[in-house]
Amino acid sequence: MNLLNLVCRSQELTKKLETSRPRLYRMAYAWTCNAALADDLAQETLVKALSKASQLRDPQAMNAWLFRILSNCWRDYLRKHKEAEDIENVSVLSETTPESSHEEQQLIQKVRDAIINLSEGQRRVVTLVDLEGFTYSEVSHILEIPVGTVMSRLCRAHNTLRDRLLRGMEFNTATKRPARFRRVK
Amino acid sequence: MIQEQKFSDEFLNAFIDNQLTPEEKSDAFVAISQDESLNRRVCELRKVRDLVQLACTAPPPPPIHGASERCGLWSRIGFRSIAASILGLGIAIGWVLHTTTPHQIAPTGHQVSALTSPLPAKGIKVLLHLNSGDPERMNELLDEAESLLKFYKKTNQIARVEIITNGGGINLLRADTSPDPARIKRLYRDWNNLAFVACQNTIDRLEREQNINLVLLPEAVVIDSAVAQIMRRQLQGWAYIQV
Amino acid sequence: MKKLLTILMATIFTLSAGAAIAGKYSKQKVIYHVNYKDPKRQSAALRNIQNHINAVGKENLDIRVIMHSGGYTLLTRANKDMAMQQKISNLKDQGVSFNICANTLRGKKIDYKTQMFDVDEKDIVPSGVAEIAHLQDQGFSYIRP
Repeated sequence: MNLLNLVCRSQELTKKLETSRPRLYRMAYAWTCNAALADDLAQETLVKALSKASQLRDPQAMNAWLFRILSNCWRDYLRKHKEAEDIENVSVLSETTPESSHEEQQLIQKVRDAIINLSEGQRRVVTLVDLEGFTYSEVSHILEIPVGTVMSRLCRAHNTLRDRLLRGMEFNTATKRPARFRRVK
Repeated sequence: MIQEQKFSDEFLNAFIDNQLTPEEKSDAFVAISQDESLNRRVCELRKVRDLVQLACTAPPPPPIHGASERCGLWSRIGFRSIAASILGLGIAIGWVLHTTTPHQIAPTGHQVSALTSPLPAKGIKVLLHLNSGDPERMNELLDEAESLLKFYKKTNQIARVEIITNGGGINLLRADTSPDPARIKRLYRDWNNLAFVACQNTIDRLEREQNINLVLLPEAVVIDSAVAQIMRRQLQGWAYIQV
Repeated sequence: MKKLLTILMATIFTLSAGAAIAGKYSKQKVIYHVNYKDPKRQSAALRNIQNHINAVGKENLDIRVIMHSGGYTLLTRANKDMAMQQKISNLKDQGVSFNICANTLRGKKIDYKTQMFDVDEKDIVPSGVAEIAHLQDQGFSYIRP
């Protein structure tokens, strides 16, 4: 194959990978609740992806392939830190955002807290399905677990989140929340 | 009771995530429209999914690194490994061209997944707000929504239309009071850029005041608060129209 | 009425604060959305618009009245009502444009030339709701009195 073609395709691949960065970062943040760590994981994923590009048999499967790399990077990070007994430094507490005073941000923070309090396995499954819309079989491939396990983890994650967020938590009523937009009477 | 055993939580999750066969999905639709508790479970699951998307779609930005630390993929890897990758990629591409196996592309996401996420910058985004249960107005809303969608399609414009209901407007999406459930079903099926949204606050208030269990149409998606959603959408650049 | 004026001004000034030019406000762009039949509400809407002009000045305003659904009756009523004709003409003289939705005309089988007051072909928009969305995209504020 023409070397020039190869160079162009590789540049294309790099560009395509870079466009995946925000989604990888978003997923990594959902798993870690730590912006710096999420950024590092996303970067590491892209670096590994480029160096392993030859392993990607089907360009259409790039998404699932990338998230699998991300999942493995995160798993390796956890193992490393667990061994070093640095588990306390692995973020399980979510960061507070400067906009926390805003009602919607408070809701977002509550949901993030609830997600981060799920077990590792449930958290990954629920975010891959709900956030990225992967099919159950793709999630099974990404996390290297059976489809049945995907379904049961998803189910348990949703039940836990439902119990934590919908029951026993009041949503502000419209009367408490000032409407920014009013009809002129 | 039998319905609950037949439709496990796993099954309902798969229903919402579009992982069922067409026959299973069809069965589920029928059962959900006839069973209040089943409908409630589905609504709750959808709501949980919406909340996950709301919380995770827009994380805080990563910390800003110095120029020397973050130079993108190229400098990080080094050119030697890039050359190796190019060669490897060339081999892979050559190999792939000889294969014929199609691959299932990941779905583009459920209708609901776009509910709270910011959308592509281009294209028209219209929020139609209904807060009245007047039957004439409800039907007019459906007329307006449909003509809007057709107009954008005819003029080749990318558009999204979201119908948000609160107060009396929730009657549009209640299984017992909707003026035209069949039309809503058809619109939902025919237009993948149309969403029907009901306000949880209104639902809670009605259930509390009237001591009932509200059953919504299966096409309806529940959001925490119509007011919050209107604010979110305006921040995201949506046009707002009260119908 | 004074409260209404305050709300109107607060809304419009807040929404168009960024558009101020040194020494002079740039035009405020506003949609008035009329999609209801109630004659009292329609008359009130016309009064609102006049009050708005009085408060801000006609040279500072670009007001578009968009009528669709039940709102079409504003112009069919005016066809037989001299007082309404005067109000509408007066507003038009001050730069307000009145636009009617083609879908509504078609749906209600209205001949705008004979059944509506002072409607030109250029006043007709293909879709009232689409026009509102488009104008908001162009920076117009939205009011539905």
